[in-house]
Amino acid sequence: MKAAETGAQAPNSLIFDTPEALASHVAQLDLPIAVQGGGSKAGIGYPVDASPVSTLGLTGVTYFEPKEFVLGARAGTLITDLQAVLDEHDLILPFEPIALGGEPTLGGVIATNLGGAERESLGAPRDNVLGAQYINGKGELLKAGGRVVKNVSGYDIPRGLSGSWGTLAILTEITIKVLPKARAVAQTGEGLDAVMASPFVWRLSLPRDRAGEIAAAWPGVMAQQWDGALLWLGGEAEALQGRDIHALAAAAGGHALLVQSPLEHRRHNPCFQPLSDGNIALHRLLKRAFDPGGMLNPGRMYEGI
Amino acid sequence: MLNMPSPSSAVLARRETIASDLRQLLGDDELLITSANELKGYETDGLACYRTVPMLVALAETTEQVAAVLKYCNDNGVPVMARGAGTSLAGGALPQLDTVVLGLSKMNEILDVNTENKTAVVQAGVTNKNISVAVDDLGLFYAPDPSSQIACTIGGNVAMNSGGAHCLKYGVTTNHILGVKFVTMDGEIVEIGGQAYDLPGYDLLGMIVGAEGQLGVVTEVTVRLMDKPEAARPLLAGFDSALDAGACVAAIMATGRTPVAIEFMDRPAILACERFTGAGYPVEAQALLIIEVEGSEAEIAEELAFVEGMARDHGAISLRVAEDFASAENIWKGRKSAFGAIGQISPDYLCMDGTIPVTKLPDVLEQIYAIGARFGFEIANIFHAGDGNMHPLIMYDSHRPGVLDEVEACGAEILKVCVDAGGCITGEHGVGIEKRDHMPLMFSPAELNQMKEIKRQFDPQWLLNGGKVFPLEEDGVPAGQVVPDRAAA
Repeated sequence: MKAAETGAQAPNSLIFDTPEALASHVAQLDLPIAVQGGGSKAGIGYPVDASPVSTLGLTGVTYFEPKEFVLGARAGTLITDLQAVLDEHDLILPFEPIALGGEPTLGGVIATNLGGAERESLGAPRDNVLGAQYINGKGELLKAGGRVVKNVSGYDIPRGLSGSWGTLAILTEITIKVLPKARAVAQTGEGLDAVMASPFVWRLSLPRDRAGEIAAAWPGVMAQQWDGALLWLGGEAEALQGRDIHALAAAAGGHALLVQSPLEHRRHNPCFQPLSDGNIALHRLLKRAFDPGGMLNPGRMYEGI
Repeated sequence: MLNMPSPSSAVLARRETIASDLRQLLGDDELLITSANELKGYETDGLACYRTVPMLVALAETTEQVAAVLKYCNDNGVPVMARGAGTSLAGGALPQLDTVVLGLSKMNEILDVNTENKTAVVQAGVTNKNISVAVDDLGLFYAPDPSSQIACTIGGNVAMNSGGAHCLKYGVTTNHILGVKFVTMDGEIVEIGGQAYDLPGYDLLGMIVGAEGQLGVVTEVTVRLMDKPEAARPLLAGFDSALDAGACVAAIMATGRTPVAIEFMDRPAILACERFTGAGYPVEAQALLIIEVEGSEAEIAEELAFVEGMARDHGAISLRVAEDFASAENIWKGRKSAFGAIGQISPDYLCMDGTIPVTKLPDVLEQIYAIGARFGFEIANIFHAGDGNMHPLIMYDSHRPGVLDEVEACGAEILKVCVDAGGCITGEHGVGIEKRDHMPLMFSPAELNQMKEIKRQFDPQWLLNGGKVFPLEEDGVPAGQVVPDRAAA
């Protein structure tokens, strides 16, 4: 292992060259770790006060069969590197990473499952995941899923881990379906740059028939994607006319994520949509199933998880 | 023959008490089935070679009844299993002697259709086909289309993450579910997801869809609806050899111009289907592809020209495009009743469901025929070729003593070929009871244990649809299950 030298990484981040080395590190942990990929979404969630571990040493394509439209790569592989590999074969990724700047990794895109502009036509990142290798909180290096699209052999752990922000397991390798270039759709999301210039930025996934009323009421800068069902709201403060954005999104039947905010704000306020007691109870069950000791990214999404 | 878990004598001894308690919980005597005659209707599913009459059947009409039954079973250590239409080909709905079957077929209402969001909220017992029928006038449809779609329920589809012929283009169940009403084993009702894309927090839908009804019971489902294509047209291409047809599929898929469906049938299947439905299949061919394209008339013409060219290049001996809607319907009717058609020519069959990378199709087909020949079974192949989801049907006569063991051994070899080719043991039918013991072909003990740990957290007593998905423990109990009267012994 060695300390990471790359951009958005915490300066003392531990970096590993193989999944096995990372797994044995996790198996010997006494204290929790903060798991990070490219760090492009480091500003989302509660700050995790734990020693940082990077996946950026786990790189490279592990399986690529262009005629089957299947690609496997280590989790720390940069999205731009994958795009370059695919480009040579007139192929594209089946998702467009959310545009937050920085250099996202494949693992980070799957672990956060934030669909970009083309989610409407291509699906979310999780929709095209075929298999994964991962390290659970006990330091076991395991695999799930496979290399074929039609696969219902056992529980769908690759999808279950997507969107878990490194709190259930560390993804070390991911196999995805890729697409021929002809499928590419023009990007939308005009005005996103202006939104991202704001101190507070919210991303709201809403029922399309309720998105208009929230968009109309927002006084700040705004961008829309997904044919109107995804709103990006930028502003100086975290509330709208005294109403919390999470509450506003929930009342409309959707959910909101605070994707940009000052660090001090994030220490004390949730970025992730608060959940019902019953729903959070199910989160706890999954956390206990994968990371019973609470070693991985504790509290990044929700308290105690 | 597969081992079945031994029933708990303590539970069976309390049958009368349990029946009377459940009657009270359901609030309507008609909703509890206790007579041997009626219980027999729930003894099996689409895997009809295994049969066990359940202890009781509770028919739920509301989510609250489902919650009450689950909580009761949890509090009293009673095994329970949700059942939709009972069409599982993997024994996913096979009960045990000590099981309370929780029937959801009465929960069959479509609760809401939202054309702007393109969603429908339906109860778990609504049939797959009825969703599409209900929204047909609106120009919408529900895409995943298992062959049993006239009978199978959306609740069952969610449990098994079902696929179907048109999933080649549209994706499987998990790609089309936006929300569920989920009842936990301790009777909590939790709303997950809804009308908006993606979930806040963990991907609980990803975890629940395909968990074979082992984590909880889904009573309502919010599905995503798609715009109906302007038109769709199937093409029938006959080939001199199954290997040519397989090569044609691999070549079409390699271009990236994915048709909406590519279905494969070999000679035994063609003959059986033609006799059964008169769909106009080429009876002189050794193998047949049904390739469907869709879009505007111009797009259809272009795609058909492309597909016809590919078929010719791979030695197609006959080509026929459906000339009108009725003949297109007929072509699909032939395919979707294929399993029934095989049932007409063979007393029994076992349907395998392995998936392989499409490039391996010709090679794997050859190996499957060789395995069949070695075991002395005729095998008909009918499957979703575009995504490599094979359905070899091993034909046999169950009257011959010991034959089921031979059939299962033959099937196991086929699945091993699929896994060795880079595929998996089940593409869309699920593990159920049938492929339970083959899971170690794909997963290490630690990997299986991680799945079991999820089950253990959601259902610590292992009461919900036990005996499935994971190999039984050495003493024959469902993996992880605590059986009080055995633990005491």
